[in-house]
Amino acid sequence: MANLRIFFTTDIHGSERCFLKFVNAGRFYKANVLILGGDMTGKLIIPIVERNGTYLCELMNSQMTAGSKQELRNLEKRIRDSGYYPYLTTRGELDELRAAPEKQDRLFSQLMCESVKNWTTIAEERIRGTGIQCLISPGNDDRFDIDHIIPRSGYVRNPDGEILQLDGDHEIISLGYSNMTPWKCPRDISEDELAAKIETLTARIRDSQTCIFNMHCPPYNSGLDMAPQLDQRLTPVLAPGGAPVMIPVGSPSVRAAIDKYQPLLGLHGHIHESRATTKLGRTLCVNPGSEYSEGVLRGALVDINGNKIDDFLLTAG
Amino acid sequence: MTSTGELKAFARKASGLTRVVSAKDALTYNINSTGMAYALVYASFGAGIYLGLDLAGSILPVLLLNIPIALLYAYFSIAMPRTGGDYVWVSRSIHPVLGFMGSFMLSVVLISWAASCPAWTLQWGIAPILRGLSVVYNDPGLITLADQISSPIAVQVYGLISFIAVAFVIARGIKFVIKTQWVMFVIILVGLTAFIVTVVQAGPATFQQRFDSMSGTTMKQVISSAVSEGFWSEVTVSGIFLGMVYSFLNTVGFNFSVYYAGEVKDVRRTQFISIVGAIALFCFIMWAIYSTIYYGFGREFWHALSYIFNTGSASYTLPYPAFPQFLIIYFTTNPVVITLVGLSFALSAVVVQIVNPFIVTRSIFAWSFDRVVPTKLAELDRRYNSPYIALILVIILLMICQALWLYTNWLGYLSYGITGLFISVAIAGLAGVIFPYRRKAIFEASPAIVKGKIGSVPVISILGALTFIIAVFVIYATLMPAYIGTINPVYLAVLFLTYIAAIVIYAASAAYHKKRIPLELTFKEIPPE
Repeated sequence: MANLRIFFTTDIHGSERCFLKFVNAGRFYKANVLILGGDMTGKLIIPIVERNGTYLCELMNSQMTAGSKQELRNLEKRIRDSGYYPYLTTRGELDELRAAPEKQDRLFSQLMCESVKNWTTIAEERIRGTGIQCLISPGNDDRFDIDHIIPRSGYVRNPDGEILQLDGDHEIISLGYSNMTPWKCPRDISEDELAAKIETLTARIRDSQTCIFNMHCPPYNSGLDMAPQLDQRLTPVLAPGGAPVMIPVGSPSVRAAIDKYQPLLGLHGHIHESRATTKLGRTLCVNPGSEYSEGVLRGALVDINGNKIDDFLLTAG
Repeated sequence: MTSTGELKAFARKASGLTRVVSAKDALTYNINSTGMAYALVYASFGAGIYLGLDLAGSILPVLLLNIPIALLYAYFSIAMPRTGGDYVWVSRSIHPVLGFMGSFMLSVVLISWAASCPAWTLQWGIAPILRGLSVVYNDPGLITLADQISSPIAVQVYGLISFIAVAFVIARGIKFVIKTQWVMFVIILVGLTAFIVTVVQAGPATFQQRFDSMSGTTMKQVISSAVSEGFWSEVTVSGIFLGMVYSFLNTVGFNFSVYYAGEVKDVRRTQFISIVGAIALFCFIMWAIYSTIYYGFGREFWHALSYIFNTGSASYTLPYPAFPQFLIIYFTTNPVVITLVGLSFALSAVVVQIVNPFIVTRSIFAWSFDRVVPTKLAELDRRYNSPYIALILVIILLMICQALWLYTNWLGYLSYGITGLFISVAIAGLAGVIFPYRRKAIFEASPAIVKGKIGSVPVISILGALTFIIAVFVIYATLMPAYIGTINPVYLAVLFLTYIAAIVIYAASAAYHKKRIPLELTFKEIPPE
């Protein structure tokens, strides 16, 4: 049986630095397969306004300036590396955007799509001819607008909602949906809907012994899904001592599927602070966590030999 | 000019990372980690061992020297807010093996210290309460009871029970640990306040009158015995500098929130408040205790009594150690005050008995994550999200260490543990110096406060250099003969063997994984270009 080395990362939330590291990870780690497990789009637009030949913006509570085109390019790069979208605009447009949330929303979609398109091009250029497969799937935070931008075939592809053959022996099923979160993200759905989508995919698996589940949402109560309990205002619920109440927030449907099919490997993300690995029966489940805002790419390297996991390592590269 | 408010970013509705340990929690935890009331005992050790030391006067230099260390740890924790503390920074900035060596040494020392906590609780916390109450109620049976609970077998039995209790507390997860910390913090603070208020109110005259009439000796006799055995009371510069080592020892723990930084909310604010605040507040508490001791007992008498006690002189005739919690009886017969003062010490030992293993389980968890030790050790308890296998291992090690501490002098071989801790601090200092250059991307992505520069030199590099110099000074001072009586080459060898053991473990693990996924890939940065 063939050997596979998989590098898996997730939740980079727009950080261009993390994405560039991701596409270089194949050669760096000698991996055959690269998987980006969802939540690739950013959460903030940083407006940059030109005033008397100087470009101004606010980044991480600090006012930043760029005095030349070159400095502007450096500033934009820095914003993108941090996971945000730079947007060069005017005072007038800024006022319009502030007044019209639907325009902000359209702008987000536009910038996300431009960014994902650019990333896909970079990935194709860097991976072409290396023999490395690169799977980039959306997560619950990612809008549906980006789905058509990543090709459905080729060496850089979007595997969401499909079963792919990685080699002669190993299949991978991918699903970016998650159970409902307090933020009601684009791909948050009910447990029943999630269970139905999982069942549709798992019903077509040839051999669960060698199959990989690439599911953005971690299995419920697995140690990969511990997050602070939040109240209606989305602030953490505190115990009498002032400490947060941590609860499992993963999906029971994902858990049930893993318990039932016992795949070789479960690749998950979604809960940044729950970096962990665990064994559910014979299945190794991994959540590498996320450190995207610091430009650190957290990932998992997994060596697969047939129907066995030879070795694995959580990385912070 | 466009105002900052007008340039505010647009945010969309998206899931968010939520960090959750508050500044108040972390501050309490850090102050507790120092073993607050241990200052009572260190007042005796410092005064007895370092002639020429001014305890209260040493606090300001201790605070000043700790500030660069506190700032470095806070800066690093803000730049890399991850559970594991200096293990993570050193591994990323220099090399994983150095990170592991420092973390391994810290764990060995913390376990050996925690192993002695049950004895400290009973012998130096509960026993003085019973002895004090025996005077108050004229009941000699309480002295017998104090002696009985101080026996090795009683300490061992209590130790075994309390270690299981500690496992229970840690197994319930960080929120339960912090809750217990809060309760004990309040009681310890009340006990220390009771001590200060009582001593100040009663004053030195009351002490002299009661000590001379009740103790079987007199203050004058104690001083003259000490002087005849080589004691002098003048303050010297060398005495202050070397004596500061004990005050440094007492401050270990003020930065422990870095070891669970991954769970800290608003890390920039929290780590500054909790680390810098803890060292400042704790130094104030130490200063208040030492000043109170000097006022109540008189500096010359306190140093003379401590001298004959710590040198094992035959002229020390008191039936208990020269610690303030035993001597409080000469200031008051109020049973509540006597109980509170003893309890503050007993609970400080209990706090350390919880905090130290907690930090060690976190460290083992981090090593296991990086596969330096078997991944089984990172297995979590589903209900409380606690690394239960690492915890079981730590509790077993504690029980073994406690037996060694009680029945052998093997833990004496770790007398240079504090030296080891400051070697680790020195390594963290070096990591601070090179961090902005070796991990430029992380440095550049850090909040503005971390990226500050003086001229062209990053502040964190300056803090790293200062930390390194201070740590080297402490290392030197702990190796001075006065620290443990003499430079013992065997003890020194044990210190280095501990590092060798860490290197062997790392090398064995690296060799095991070499044909699979090499360990050094853990923190190796992928070039983005």
